Amino acid sequence: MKKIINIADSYKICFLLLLFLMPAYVSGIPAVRASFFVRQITVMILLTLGVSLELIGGTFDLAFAAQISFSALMAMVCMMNGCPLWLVCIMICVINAALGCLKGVLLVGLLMPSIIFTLALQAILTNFSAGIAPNSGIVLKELQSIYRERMGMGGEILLVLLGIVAAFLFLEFTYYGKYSRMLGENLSLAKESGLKCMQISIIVHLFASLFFSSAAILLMLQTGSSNASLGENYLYRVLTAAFLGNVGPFGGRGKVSGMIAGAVIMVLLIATLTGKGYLNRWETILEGLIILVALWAQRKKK
Amino acid sequence: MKKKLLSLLLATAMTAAVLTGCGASNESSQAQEPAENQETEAEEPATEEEDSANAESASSEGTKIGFLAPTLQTEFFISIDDGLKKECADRGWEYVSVSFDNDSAKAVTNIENMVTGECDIIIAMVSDSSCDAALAAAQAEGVKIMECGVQTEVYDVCLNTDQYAVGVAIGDMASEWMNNQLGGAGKVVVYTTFQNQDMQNRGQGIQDAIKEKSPDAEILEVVDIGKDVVGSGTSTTENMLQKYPDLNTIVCYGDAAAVESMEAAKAAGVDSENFGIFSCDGTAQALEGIANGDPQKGTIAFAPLAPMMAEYSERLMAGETFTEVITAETITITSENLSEYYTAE
Repeated sequence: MKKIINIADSYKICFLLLLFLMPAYVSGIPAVRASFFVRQITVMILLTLGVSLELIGGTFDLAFAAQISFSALMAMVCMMNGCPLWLVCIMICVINAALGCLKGVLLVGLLMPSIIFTLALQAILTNFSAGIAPNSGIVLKELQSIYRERMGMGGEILLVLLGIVAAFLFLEFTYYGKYSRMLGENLSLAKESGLKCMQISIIVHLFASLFFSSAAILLMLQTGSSNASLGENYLYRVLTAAFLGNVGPFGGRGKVSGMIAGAVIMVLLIATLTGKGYLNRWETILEGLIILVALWAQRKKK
Repeated sequence: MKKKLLSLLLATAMTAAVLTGCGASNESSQAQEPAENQETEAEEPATEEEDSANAESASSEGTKIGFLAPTLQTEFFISIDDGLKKECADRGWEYVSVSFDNDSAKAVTNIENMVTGECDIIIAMVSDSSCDAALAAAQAEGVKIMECGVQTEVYDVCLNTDQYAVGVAIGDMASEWMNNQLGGAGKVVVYTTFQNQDMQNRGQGIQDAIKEKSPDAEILEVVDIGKDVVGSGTSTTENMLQKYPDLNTIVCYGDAAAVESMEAAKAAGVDSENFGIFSCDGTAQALEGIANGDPQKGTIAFAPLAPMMAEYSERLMAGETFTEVITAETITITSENLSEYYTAE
């Protein structure tokens, strides 16, 4: 067989089939179990959208999980010292925006391989977080009740819908979104063609940082805590979701529908593995395999 | 056409994998039914006591236990996991285990997924109260919550130990050895962790006990060894041995770091007779070190937790309620009483 196997397109069929399976997962007391899935899918979609936008723009980001825990930890430290919640939420957005700008500059300005500088950034942020706060992290239980009262399932659904619409509009209808694909596919060609590459890169990363900020705020409120490890387990899950959703690991490719499909499939897969007791043994194996297959399939297509 | 066919085949394979999991759940619950029927027939001529025992076991048949651990990479938690697997297998229960790797977000997700996976009881060895909302939601679903190691506000039964008292027991063990072997002139490094308040209490107990029982000993440094990560004990001990050449005692909050310290100390060529390492957990590696005359001189063991967890799970399923925290016993193990708890293979 010499034809390229279009494995990536299978996600569309998987998504449709798995939608029929979802009622099995939300049986029982509908309100409570549905809220579990909405919460998990909200965080997963927001992170997948952010990482995918960066992938499309040419950044293979390994630092987003550390970025989330760092910004949430900074916010908790400030809250412990009397800062109001609204102010620390803005602070989380500012921190993530600054880190996003840095990534944009490093990618285009200094032409650093993204996988290297994001790996370094991850190490710096993780250890910085561990150094400034106790290893036990900071717990403010009242945040959990604030989240339940003010956010709830309705708020999560609204937030994720806003994120999906914003990502779609950004990619399809804005100068920066449309040309980020060219940036991701071939940076040098994009520069030669006269594109404002630095501007595009910074704007794409700034926009992606909004999704990371939202996820950081949600995780901080849902757990009422933060430490150096908050969200670090999302690293490979989100990358797997992005590749499963046909987002190109080498830049330039990706659709919002694929990102959503990948995120939903990962949430259902994790739930299934946990319920059957296979999570610890099979999760990272499956994630690694999916990433390898996606990379191979993308290379074959090129 | 071929691409579409391949896509369809792959999608079917993925879905089949998911459905197989659901089918396995149904098969296992169906397999228990003929077993239940056989048991019922055999127990017909039962006495009153046997009737109540049968009622209790009947109410717990088909139970599914979910175990949430901070990590499943250290011997202490692996032994609990293995013990629970055995206890559940003996009782015909289903069992799943997950770790949250010090990520409270992952802990919340795992709790939700265990509820979705229809666990009847969740044994949660959480680090703090960040999972309370998720545990409360699980209780609202009818899931029983057993907390172990850390007491928060959401549980149906809590198995805990006074961690400060455990620390004092470790410190007392180290002090006794320093007074007898070193004439009280101990040069001590304490390995502790600030992962949660209970572990901080344990570390404080160690320090207070050494200061009280061995006043001539000098605590050179209190090291926050951080997460229970494989390798941290080794690197920390190598650094401490370089920094303090006259170091002769290491007191650790857990066996994982102590066992690594023991190997690092041996590799550095310390005099095993006059170098002492003390810790807690009672793992096989620590006991083996004591038996071999290595620097490991003592450990605090807990009464086996898995049988205790299984027993209280059974009682929870029978409808019993608990208002008091259940305290797990501790045992001090040194070379003097090692033979009661360890047999060399």
